Amino acid sequence: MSSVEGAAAIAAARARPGPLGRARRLIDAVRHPRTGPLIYLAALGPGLIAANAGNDAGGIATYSSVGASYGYNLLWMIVLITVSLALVQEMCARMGAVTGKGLSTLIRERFGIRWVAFAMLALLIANGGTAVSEFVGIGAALGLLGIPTLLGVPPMAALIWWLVARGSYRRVEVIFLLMTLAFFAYPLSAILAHPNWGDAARHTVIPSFQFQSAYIFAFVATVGTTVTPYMQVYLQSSVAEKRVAMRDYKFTRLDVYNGTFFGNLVSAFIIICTGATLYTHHIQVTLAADAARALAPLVGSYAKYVFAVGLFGASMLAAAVLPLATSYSLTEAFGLRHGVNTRVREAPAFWAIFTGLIVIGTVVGVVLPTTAVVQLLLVVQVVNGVLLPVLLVFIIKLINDPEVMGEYRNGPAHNILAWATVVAIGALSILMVLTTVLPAVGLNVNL
Amino acid sequence: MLRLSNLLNAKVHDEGSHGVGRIGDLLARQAQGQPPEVTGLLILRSGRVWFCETTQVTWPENGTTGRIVVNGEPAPFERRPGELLLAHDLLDRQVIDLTRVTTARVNDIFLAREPDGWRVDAVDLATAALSRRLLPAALRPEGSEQHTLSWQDFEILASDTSGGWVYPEHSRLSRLHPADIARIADLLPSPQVLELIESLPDRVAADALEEMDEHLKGGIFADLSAERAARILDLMAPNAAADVLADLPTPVAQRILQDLPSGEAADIHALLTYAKNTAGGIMTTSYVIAPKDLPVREAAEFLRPQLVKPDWVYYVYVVDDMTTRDLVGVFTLRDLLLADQKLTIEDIMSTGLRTARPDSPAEKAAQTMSEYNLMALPVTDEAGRLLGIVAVDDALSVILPTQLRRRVPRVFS
Repeated sequence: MSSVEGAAAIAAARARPGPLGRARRLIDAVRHPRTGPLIYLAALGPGLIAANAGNDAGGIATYSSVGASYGYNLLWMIVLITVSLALVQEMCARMGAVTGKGLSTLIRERFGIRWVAFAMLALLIANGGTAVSEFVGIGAALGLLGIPTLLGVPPMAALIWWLVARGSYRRVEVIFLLMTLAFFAYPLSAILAHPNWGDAARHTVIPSFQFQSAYIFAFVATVGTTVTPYMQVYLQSSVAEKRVAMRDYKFTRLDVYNGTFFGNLVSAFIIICTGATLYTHHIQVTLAADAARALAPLVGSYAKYVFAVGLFGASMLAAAVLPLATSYSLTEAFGLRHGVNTRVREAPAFWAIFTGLIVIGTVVGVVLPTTAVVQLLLVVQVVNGVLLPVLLVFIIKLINDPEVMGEYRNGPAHNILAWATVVAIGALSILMVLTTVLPAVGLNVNL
Repeated sequence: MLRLSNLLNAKVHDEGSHGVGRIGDLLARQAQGQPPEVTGLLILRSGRVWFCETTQVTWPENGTTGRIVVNGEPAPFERRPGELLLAHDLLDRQVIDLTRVTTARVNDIFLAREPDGWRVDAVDLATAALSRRLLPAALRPEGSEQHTLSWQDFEILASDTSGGWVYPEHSRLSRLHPADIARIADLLPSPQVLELIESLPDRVAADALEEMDEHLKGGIFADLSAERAARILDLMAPNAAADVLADLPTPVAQRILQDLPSGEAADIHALLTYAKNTAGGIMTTSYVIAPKDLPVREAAEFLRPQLVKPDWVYYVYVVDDMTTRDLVGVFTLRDLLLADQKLTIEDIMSTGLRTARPDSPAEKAAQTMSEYNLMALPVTDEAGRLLGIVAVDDALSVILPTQLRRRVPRVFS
């Protein structure tokens, strides 16, 4: 048979699905795309999830406080962080596609058990804090709807545990995803609040910096919540698990860049929105209710409820994903049995970490006073920001390792930008410690 | 028995008791059917890697404690194929556990003392081995959990060894059941699945690929060379081969089709014209036929050549004419064995067959088979000519959703 006939036969097989076959074929194509635009559609998954997760409870709290306290002053930083985030995510996605392995596995294989233990400790602290902050977010959202945290958080935590353990979380996740659409109120509200667009544009392109501990604290928190360590690990595992091949990698890369751009565009709008509303009225964000008021130009007195729905959806999404992903990375690193299809007795460490993070989150979510919610969320993001360079160094080392990446290593420009990110974040963290911690222990620093 | 982790980083001395460096790694040579034998040491000294043969090394009397002495000068190190760096290539890596049919991570390596040196004896999979390497003795949790895997029970993944390891011609993997190979493939990263398939003989690879998830299978075929892909497809059931080709990007499928023998290509060509979820889409063209006027005593001789290709044979379909293949009846191989030698096939066949049209839904064909307890269902065209058969295993996979079969659940995507 000639190849032309062969191609014709293949085309015929594709073009002539039976009446029943058509729907089935579409589902197959979406699940396991091999050709055409469907690859792109299916590859959209991890990028959008990652973009959305940036706007979890911690993200909203951080961007709102930044906008309320400094107006548009920090917008230029969002531009830089977007570049860094796109860079880092692309490296992780590439590692996932080339090796088919997760980050913790690669660190163990290339650096040995001590280094992976160190990296996993950093990841546990960063992710553990973020996981806890999601339960605080659930509590705050329910609080805005008039439900006391003691009555609201434990049942939600139990629901999450049960859904994940039963394996039915994937089926209900779309409900929480739909709730986060409430956050599209931010760009609309920002426009209705008539911000000074000229001012916003000027601050987006012209950097400014203040040598103040509160300013640097806000800076590090914004880095920590935008370039979350967990997101990079998650993205790599997701690309590996999807078995994205290098021949299809261009779609994944495009998706990563898209996700980063749109995710940070939403973040920028949160800052502009809060800058145009809270900052101009000199309202500091100390309570979740304060942050909600930024949506008033769009929805008026319903602002509280719209904000609560979005916060609830985003927090519920992340509250399931974070404990699961953390437990997965840790047990994978140490070669322990893991997976949602295992029984508790078969994989005790996996279920212990997963359950432990949910329990700690629930306890903190219940006992934390309303007035401390925003402060705690900010501190968690700062911890993420400080620990980020630890993981970044591993990521950069691995992506330049010829034994791991072969011909797909970083180019020099990529490396310079990546190291610049590490140095900048590291320097900021040190600066923050100098300006925050030292005065607190009685040492004066003059900057 | 000695643990590799005890040797790594241990001090090495020369004959004059001067320190010459620390042990960076152990080199072991691959041997056919034998555990690898330790052939040398890698010594780290002031940031450089040196190599010395085990014949140059004097081990401490009691095996573990005491001074390791190197005689003569270490040489610069160079990698050679067939030589394994135990710490770099095996420790902390994933291996295939052949006994439990899964993957496992190596937490430590046991070396056994032999008269002429050391051999790799087993790998330690116990978590306790990790805490030995990580924590000081006082902080280690109690408990003496044992979980070792001896040399003959695991397989190394060669891509982890940067060319140091070479798959033996008859690897232990190729002796596993194809469904077990598919299960292991589900657990491995994609590049290593490809490497696994490439290391297997065509026949085993074809059987294992038939068991694999569509997405994984498609990815492997897209990465294999066209000649190898064609050789493997040729050994697969025609319907399975057609499914693979229908899922591949057209240029890739075209290249593979060119390399297929023309008979096989024509069969696949015919099968490709049917949509996947129809009887035609799940049928196979390997079946056995006999003309109705064939004498029973000649039947065995007549059928023998046809019995080679199909995976299993239960029914023989009876046709008017061997070229037009108008279906008139069926008999089983048992009918044939029990039949009177004086009769012809027409006397022993059953008529009134259940059949399906190629465009009828696959589900309906499966239902018919279940209702009438059939091991296979013939598929015919309007004129009653035999086009193929739906075999019971293919019907089963229509009825049983994939989730109920072997499947690794997704967490991150």
